[in-house]
Amino acid sequence: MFRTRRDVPLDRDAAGRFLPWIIAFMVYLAVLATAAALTVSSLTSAWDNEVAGTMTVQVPPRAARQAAPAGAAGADAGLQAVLEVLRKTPGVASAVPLGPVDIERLLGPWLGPGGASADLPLPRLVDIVLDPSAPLDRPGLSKRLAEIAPGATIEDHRVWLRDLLVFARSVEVLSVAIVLLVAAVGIATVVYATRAGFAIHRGTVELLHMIGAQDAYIAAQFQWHAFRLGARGALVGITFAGATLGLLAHLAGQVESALLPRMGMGIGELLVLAVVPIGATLVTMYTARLAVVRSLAEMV
Amino acid sequence: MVVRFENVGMRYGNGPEVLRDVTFTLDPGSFHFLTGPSGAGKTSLLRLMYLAQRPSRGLINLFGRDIATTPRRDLPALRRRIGVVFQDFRLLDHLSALDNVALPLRVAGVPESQIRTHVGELLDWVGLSGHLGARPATLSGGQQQRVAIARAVIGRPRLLLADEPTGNVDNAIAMRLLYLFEELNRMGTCVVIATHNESVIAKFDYPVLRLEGGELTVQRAFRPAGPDRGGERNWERPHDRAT
Repeated sequence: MFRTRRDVPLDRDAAGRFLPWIIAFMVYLAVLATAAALTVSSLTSAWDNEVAGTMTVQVPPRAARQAAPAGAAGADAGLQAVLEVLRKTPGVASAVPLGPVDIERLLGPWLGPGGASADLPLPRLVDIVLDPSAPLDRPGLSKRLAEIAPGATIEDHRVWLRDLLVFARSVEVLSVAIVLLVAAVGIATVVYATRAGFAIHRGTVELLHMIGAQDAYIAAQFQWHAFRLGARGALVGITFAGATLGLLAHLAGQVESALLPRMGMGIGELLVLAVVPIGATLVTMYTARLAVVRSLAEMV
Repeated sequence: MVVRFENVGMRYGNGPEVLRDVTFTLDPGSFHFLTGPSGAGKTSLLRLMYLAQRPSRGLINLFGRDIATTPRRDLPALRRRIGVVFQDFRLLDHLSALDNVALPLRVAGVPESQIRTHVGELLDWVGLSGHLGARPATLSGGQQQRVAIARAVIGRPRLLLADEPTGNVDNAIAMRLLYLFEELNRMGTCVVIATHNESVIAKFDYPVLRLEGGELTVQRAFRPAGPDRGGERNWERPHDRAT
């Protein structure tokens, strides 16, 4: 497949030296931009899945400790009353208070080990999982919670997630725009290089044309030459991009996981990244072919 | 009929016509010289014949097909029936003599196994059997010319066009080349030799196409150019058949 006639001595052209490096750079940028888009996309869907159907109720320390109007006993009487109300509310599937271990895990990165001691007046948190089959009367729930635990608030994660999703979508759009821009610049460069090669070897091309070569015969020589250059450049580009992504993943792994979400890639994402150099090579090849066919069409 | 030109005119861009009302016919197996002073339009006429150029006006018919109405995709097949020996040989420097000669066969998709045999025989025929792998730069002018001729005839063309094939060689070699073309002609190829060397033309009794100032006249056999051209009776009108 790759062994084609080389009647046109394209291997000696300057384009053969610079084009692979340009393609390598283009592939490098495109792979990084695609990786950024994929990472952001998987993060947002992960956040979305985690947050969808959940809420958090925050009970101030004083309200959590006070005696409940219903007369519930214990140090966390207020909290118990809140839980009771929550569990009886239609639309709430479960309501689980976060224990000291969970609080320690959440605050550890900021306060250090043992920072969240019992002396620290921390609000109590209740994780709520919503029942998708029953609608929740949120204003009514807020009102009832305010009655039994003044200052208690309901945090719907979707509010802050919405802003985060807008930002994430913007990053995705930007990444796709970068890939398209890189592709456009790459195509323009290949067209220019091919036309330059055509002009340099015009005498040889004319000779082949005059001895009866079909356009496809001549175009194939430029096309496979461009394929070889494109493949060489794409290989270099994907190698450097892989090394860069590996380094980023390594650095991200060293950062505390609670501060930075996991950024690993699955097989699907890696396959999408593999399409970039293959696509770049094929686009290089067919762009060169089209450029030559158009130039040949100007001949008799 | 191999070639038919009817009232063909040609100009480059907006310049003056370099060929005017050219009309002639070449029959299969015929042999012609094409002559005229430098700049008379010999190369332009040849370019029209080997389809490197389109006429500005008039009709060109090659192998029975009107060029103006022949689709572009069909032209390569017509070109393969035409062998051309260019004035400057136009050999590809990066290819060996064998590969240069093999080019028309490769373009036509002939299997490699056959190419080597055919090309070897032909290079032997033109006296270059010992130079199969030689690059053009290492060959003398005469040897390059023979490689160019071998490339022109390897595809057994029905029409052979040679532009000043004797221009760079002495008379002895020129005669050898012409005998070579005669041999091809005997095998049925229609041959047109463009030359301004009238002493060479005079040695053969073939019809002459004479171009002067872009106009073509057809002479049944050579008569010397100059003040005494042998009188009008030696010349045919442009519309007469060349053979």
